[in-house]
Amino acid sequence: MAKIVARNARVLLGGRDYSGQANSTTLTFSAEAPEVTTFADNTRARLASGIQDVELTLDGFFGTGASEVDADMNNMLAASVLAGFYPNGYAASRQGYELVGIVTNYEQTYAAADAAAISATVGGLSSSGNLYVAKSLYYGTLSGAGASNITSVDFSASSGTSIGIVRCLTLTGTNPSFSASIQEANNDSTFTTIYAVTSVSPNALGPIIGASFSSPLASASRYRRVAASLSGTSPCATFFVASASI
Amino acid sequence: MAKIVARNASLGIHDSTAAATCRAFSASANSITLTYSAEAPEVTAFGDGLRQRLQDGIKDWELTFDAFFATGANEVDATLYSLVGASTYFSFGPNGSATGAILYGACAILTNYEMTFGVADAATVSGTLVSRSGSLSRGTWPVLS
Repeated sequence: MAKIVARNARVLLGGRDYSGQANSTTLTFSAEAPEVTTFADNTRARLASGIQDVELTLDGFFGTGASEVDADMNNMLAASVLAGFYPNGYAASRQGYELVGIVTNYEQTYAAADAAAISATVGGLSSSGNLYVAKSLYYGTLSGAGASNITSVDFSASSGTSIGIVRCLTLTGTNPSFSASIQEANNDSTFTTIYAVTSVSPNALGPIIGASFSSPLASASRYRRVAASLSGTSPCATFFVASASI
Repeated sequence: MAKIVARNASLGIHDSTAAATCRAFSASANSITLTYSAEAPEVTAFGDGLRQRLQDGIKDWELTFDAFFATGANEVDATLYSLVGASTYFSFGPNGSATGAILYGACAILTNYEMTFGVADAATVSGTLVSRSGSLSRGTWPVLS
């Protein structure tokens, strides 16, 4: 059994990576089990296939910067957000979870002898959302103008409806532009694009939650990879790409 | 990453006098929790496998604090006792009250004032402020003249 340490967990809300500000995350996936116990039963009886629910809670440290947790949470409260949780980090092939939820609670705690702390809750799912099991395709930084194809990941175990997720976490340079696509192939050789995000500029990142994009994928071949490109003068992008399925 | 120690937090609560003087609680308080929350009305219908909710629900906030009981004319007990159920305004600085530091403030009602006296302990109090009207504002401390 591959037990893991929790210290490598990563948590992202929208286009922002909060891993450096968080120290505890709990993902709760629950299901109703309506009780149908009758006089004739000796033990409680329940029905399967009840409504499911999901909640992601995040504990961390209060941060005062313009792009840190306090400013972000104040702006995200009550808003819909794409939340990602990767228990064992976001290196390629690592499993995680993605959900579209609503930030329903932001709590700040100040005790005289402690670091200022926060907790936040991403509750439920906004309309038409689902909890997706995700697999990381790439997390890292590319610099310099040009295109790169990143090593593929084997998705043979995935099934069901898939989505592609691209988060551009930072983008710097002079007039930089970032594009990324998810490509697939059955033979790990002849790849075709199934989801693309093009011409992301720093303005598109927005001041609050960066840029995050998700969309259903066209198909589901065994191998998927990321193709990314940068343009502009001395462009540099840190980004995260994943593919997920129900 | 600008993590901060909590020991510099600043809390001021306006008293119930006609002048609504802001009383500094920083030297009496030792724990503060500010909770900012939002409703997410549920719209789960037949056919849904997962709970569905709407964004942009009503927001609410609550500030709770713990402090040491003090008997002076303008100190904790006198100020809070006369404020229970009344309208007030609070100013909360997570990282102190220097010019430019983050400032939370809102129009509030003190709905709970609790005094605790343990035989071996310092006398303590706790209080709860809830939203009265308007929003929770987040800004920065102004230049003090």
